[in-house]
Amino acid sequence: MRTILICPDRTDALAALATSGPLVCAPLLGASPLEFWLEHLALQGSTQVHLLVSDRPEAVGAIAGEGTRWGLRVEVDALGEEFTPAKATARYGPDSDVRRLDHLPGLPDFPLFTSYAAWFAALIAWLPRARTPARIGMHEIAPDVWAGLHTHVAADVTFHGPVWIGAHARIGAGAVIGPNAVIEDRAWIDPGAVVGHSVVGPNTFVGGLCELNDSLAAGATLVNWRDGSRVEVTDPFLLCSLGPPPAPETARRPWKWKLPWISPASRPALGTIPAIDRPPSIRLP
Amino acid sequence: MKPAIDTDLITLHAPRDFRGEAATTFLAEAEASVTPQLRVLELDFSDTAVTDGGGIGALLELHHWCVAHAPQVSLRLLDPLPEIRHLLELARLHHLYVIIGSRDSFDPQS
Repeated sequence: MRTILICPDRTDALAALATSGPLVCAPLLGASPLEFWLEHLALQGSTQVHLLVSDRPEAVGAIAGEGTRWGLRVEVDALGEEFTPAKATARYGPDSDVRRLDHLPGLPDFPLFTSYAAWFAALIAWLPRARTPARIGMHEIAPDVWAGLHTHVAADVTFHGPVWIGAHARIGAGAVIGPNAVIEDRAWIDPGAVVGHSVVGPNTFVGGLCELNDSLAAGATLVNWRDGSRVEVTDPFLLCSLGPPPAPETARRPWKWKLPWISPASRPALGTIPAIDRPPSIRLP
Repeated sequence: MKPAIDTDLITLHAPRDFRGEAATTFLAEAEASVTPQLRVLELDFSDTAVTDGGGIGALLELHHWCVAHAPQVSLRLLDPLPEIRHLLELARLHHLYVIIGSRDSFDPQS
């Protein structure tokens, strides 16, 4: 079955979410709407997906690739303007399943890209379903509190579910998290901070004793999702970006992928390793 | 700036750029305007477009000064822009100041 996914163009209503990439690639519970859709289509039995993209198709292609991650065959069609479903059907044939990626799978009543408030409502509605089969390591550390791999949570943090804590996130002592709080991957919440009805984006630092309510915080950008106001925080002790995410493991540690290429037969025996390679303290006689 | 003086209420207009030296100057004026008869000190933030940690620090210092020298005075922050209000709330100043927006309903008894 061939599916046509129309990726919505950028909109002024969500300008803060579209600064670093197209809206369908915006971080959402450790992934992006595009990734959730591709996983959903794979589970539904789709084999071929065409992505119709008018906003930064290279970023969409970087996430989707060729679709092998989901067992799909994905093609990114770069367009000058956003196609309507009727136009897409006319181009790709009436047997194609045409969908517009303006909501999360199974949540058509929660449009993603109409306003910040709608985005936040969809995110919270999606939260119980975000533990998809492909996600590894997400576990419930308290009722309605989900934490990913390698999270560091101080012992006296107070949670009010539902709460989502992404991988490698850190939450300091005395913090109060929730309700309806999302701490994305590698975010850092300093001791004593309060986060409620808010999203802390990936690689974002929230300073000690700060209070985030009704907010979307991404780096130094702070958006009030209720009224849409946006401010760039200039003081890093309040809110700032922690920089880009670290490079993938294989890029940082080339020995990790080089080692398996050495066959056991070609590895030198321990005694044949020259002594000069070892530190002097453990040099063998 | 000349404060608008009522019997027990003073309204001070904060500068457009409430940062650094401007915030420090405003703090000194606010402290100087406090009298023993004063009950309410209103800071009009309707013209303020920019602030930062320096401005937040000045507001914090003014609160500490009032607690120490004029505990009868209650502090109000009038009509800040949504962005400024959000920043003040991030720094938890809404627990120290009564922030009154133009669209908020305000109970004068509070």
